[in-house]
Amino acid sequence: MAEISIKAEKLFEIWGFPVTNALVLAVISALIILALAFLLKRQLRMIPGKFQGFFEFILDELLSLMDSVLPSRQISEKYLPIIATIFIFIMLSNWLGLLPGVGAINFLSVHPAPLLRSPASDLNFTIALGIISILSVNLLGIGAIGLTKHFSKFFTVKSPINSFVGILEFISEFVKIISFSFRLFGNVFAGEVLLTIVGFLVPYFLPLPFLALELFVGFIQAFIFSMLTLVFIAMAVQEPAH
Amino acid sequence: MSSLFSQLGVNWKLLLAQGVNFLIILTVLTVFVYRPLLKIVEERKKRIEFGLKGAEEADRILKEIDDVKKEKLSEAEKKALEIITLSEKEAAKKAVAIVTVSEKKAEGILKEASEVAKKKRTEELDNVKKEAEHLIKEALIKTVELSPRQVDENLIGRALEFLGKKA
Repeated sequence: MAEISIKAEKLFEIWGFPVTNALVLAVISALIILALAFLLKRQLRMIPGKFQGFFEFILDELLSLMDSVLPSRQISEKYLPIIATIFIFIMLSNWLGLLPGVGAINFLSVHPAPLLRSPASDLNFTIALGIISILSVNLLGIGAIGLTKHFSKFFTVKSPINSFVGILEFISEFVKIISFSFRLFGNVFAGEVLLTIVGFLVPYFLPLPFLALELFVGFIQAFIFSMLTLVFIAMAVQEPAH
Repeated sequence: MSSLFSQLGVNWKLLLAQGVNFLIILTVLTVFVYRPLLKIVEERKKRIEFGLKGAEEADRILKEIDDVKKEKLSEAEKKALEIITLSEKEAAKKAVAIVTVSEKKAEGILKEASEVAKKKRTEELDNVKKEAEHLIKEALIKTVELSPRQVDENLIGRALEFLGKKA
């Protein structure tokens, strides 16, 4: 049975910078997204083709979803980039991690390790996204209502209760990063472990339903991550209640 | 804490790399996909709205034109009927006038004809008179040309003859 490691395996180093298998797949995901973006940019037309139509459909669905949380379509369009990018990047990374060969092809070095690993099964990926998400929430909040008003949600001297609640809110911002990162990491890593064990016990046919389940989990986790970010943004850009 | 991070494989360099990776995607997608795509969708929406408004306007104008056409047609029909009625009346009047004039003309012609006939008759009578005068004159001249004695004798003879017969 393949060794299950909670941390991504280091493949090699470039000038002291460790390159892990999760980072390699994350970069591959990024390159695929960039390639699709350039391809789409070249094909953009007023009358859309199938390719452009597909992207328009995805963005329109996302915008409709955002409209249900945010007050208007213009505000939804303003925050679309961060939400859509989180969703697309996480979902593609999760799905690429399910491809045959990922985890099976070894990189031959001093310590043989899988060449590729699902990016979200590495805490560095999920924590990085969590930090970016919470940072964006706060920055967009500052941009929408101003620095003073935004931080008055956390630090206030109006009443002792409000001060205490504010400090709890401030701590919860950091907790959100941990909750974001460990939720995604836990789900994807558990999926990988599950697939490895099922594949080891019954190699034929039985892994298929689990693979389908992991496809769904990959989508749902990306959706949850982006929707939570959206809800936090919606809360952050509102004026604080007096 | 650092031991926990190490156990979980958390490394600030990898964190930074993943973060930069994400930010590159975010930037590229924003510049090359989201903004142009939203712009195009907005533009298309505007064009569709413009087209729909244009179509509605065209429909409205067509309806107005249709209404005007119907109005004009009914007006034209009315006018045509008026013109026909007027023409019929005028034609009837003219017919009556023509008949009256013709009758007058016929009467005039008849009058003229009778006058001409009268004139001719008078002329003929004059001619007859002139001829009679001429004949009488001729007869008188011839009578005058005879010797009065012979005439007298002749007349006496005839008178005697007449008387003899009577007796």
